Amino acid sequence: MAARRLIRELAAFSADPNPALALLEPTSSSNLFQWRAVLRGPAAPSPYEGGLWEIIISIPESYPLSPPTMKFKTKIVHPNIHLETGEVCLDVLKSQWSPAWTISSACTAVQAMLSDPEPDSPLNVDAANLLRCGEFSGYNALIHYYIITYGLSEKEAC
Amino acid sequence: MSDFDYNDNEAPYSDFEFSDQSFDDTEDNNDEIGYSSTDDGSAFDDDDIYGPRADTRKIYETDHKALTKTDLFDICQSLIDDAHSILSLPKDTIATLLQTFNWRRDNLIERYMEDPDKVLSTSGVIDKPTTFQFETAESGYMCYICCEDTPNMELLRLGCNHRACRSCFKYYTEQKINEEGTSKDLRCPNENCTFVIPDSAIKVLVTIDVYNKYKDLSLKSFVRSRNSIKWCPYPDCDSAVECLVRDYELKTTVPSVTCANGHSFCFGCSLEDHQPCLCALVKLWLQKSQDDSETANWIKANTKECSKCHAPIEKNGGCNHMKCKTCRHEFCWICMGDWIKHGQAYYNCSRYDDKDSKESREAISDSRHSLERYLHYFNRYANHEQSARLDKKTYIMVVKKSKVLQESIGMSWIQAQFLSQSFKILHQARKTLKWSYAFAYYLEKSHVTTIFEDNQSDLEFAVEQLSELFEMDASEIADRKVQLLDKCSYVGKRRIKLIEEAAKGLSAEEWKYVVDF
Repeated sequence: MAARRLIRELAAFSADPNPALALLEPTSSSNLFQWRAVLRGPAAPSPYEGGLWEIIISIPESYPLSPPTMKFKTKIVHPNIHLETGEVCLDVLKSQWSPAWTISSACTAVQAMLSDPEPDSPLNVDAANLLRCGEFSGYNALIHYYIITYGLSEKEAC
Repeated sequence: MSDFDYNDNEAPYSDFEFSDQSFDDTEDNNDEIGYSSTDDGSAFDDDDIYGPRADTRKIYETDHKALTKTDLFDICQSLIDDAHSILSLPKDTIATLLQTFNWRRDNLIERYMEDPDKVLSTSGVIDKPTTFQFETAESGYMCYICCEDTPNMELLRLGCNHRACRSCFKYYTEQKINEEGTSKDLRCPNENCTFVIPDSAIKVLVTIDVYNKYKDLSLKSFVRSRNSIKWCPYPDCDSAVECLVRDYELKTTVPSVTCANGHSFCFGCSLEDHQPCLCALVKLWLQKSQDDSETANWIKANTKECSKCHAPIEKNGGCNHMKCKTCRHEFCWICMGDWIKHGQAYYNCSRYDDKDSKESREAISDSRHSLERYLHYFNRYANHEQSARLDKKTYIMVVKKSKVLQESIGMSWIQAQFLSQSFKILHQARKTLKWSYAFAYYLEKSHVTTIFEDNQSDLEFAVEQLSELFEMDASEIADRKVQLLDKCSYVGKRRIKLIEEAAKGLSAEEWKYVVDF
């Protein structure tokens, strides 16, 4: 069930690419259950504009009944993303998952999360604290610093 | 122990040393507890179920009703039927609504009468006669979940009009039930749809094992929603007990109950039956004995207390001239008297009877007394707990003996049953004694406690005698059967007396405690 659906999703993505993604493909031709995506930062006024991050997506056998797991391989500062492990805390990838979502639409949800953080349930406490204290310039600068230092270039993304 | 299945799962019995049931597989002690589970299993009327027996029950007993899984299903079903007859919605829909309303039938009916649409939409149901149907896919249809597009495949259409192929629904529901262990929230898989997949659809979709699991889960959520029903805490026991004891009543009563499989436990705290000790005291006691007993023993054995500031002091070498680190008081380790008065009599204290050192010893603080007091009760408690554990061995012996009696002496099986019956009484008495020590520890001394402790020591004496009788060999037992039975009935009566007196004191609030709880 999962394999057929994933092949369909892949075909659908190449026919109609998702503007939130620079890339979406299985990491190797032999394993359909691990994908990589390159996510684009949302447009300004989001502080993430211009950033490119690689995400590793692990897909369970029971997909699409169970959600895929996403991890940022590229370092990123965000209240709901773990700085070290790249783990993402997003309801759509946990309790709110529905088989009607696709890998591509879930990536769109992650992009939306970048602009709309949830500092009350943080994975990155420092980033969340900056936001809660209203230190927006510091928050934005930190994000920008990480994009410059760790973010992918357009060339690397393809 | 061959064919006597004494204890089939030894390891999980950590909290409960014994399954009372396994002592005796003939008759259970329904007659003793006074509420038989079978006489009106289907009735579920909160008001008069507990009424008629109240006058016949003993003061230390609590009215309760053992419920089997079937009884619980019946209760749920009757709630569904009731609501069905009033609201005239399909039973499937009612079942979902009741789950959402935590099985509060009256609450559901009331809310539904106020605003039916709101109740339906928030509970994820739709008022339609058919909540699901199977259909054949038209050409060109592709299941949105698995992307299967085989012509004419079987689809399931839910009441919310969303559909997907049958196998996807099967996997989806099985996944939810098996992996997430949920009976609630089995919603339509479509994004943002809140429609709850009805029971009858699940029944036809999943395998019988998964469906049974689903029913078990919903039964669990039902029991969780009722304060008056609790599962039996014994491992692998799937029966429950209904008891209307309220939280505030736990200060004046110990609600011992027995489940349909004959396991006795306390309804208040789901621990083993701990008559006559109150739940709150049991909790305090267990906490105390876990935290303190070893430390307390060590302090008692290895330290003395400074006669001035009462700090515990360990003598780890050197002479008898002690100087307290805390208050700088100098004293003699032997007689505990003031060192100054020892003059030159170093290393050789002969002043034990001296007035001054006597006073010093008498000044030993309350804390040491209270420690000794605690250890007095704890040692007795621990002793009976230990004996109860050893009873397990004795029981196996008893079983063997009863076989010998049957084979060699030609006693019939029924006749030989007196051994296991008597043993059950012994075990019960030990359990009561054990908890009576925990109880007595927290009692303020008065003439009532003196009577209580007299009853206690009387029972204890009889229990030890009975225990000794079990150690005779088989032929002797046959000869002294009458003596054994006499002792048994005496122990049984003394036990009842003890818990009866304690319960009287509890309900009259005569006991004064040394702690607040």
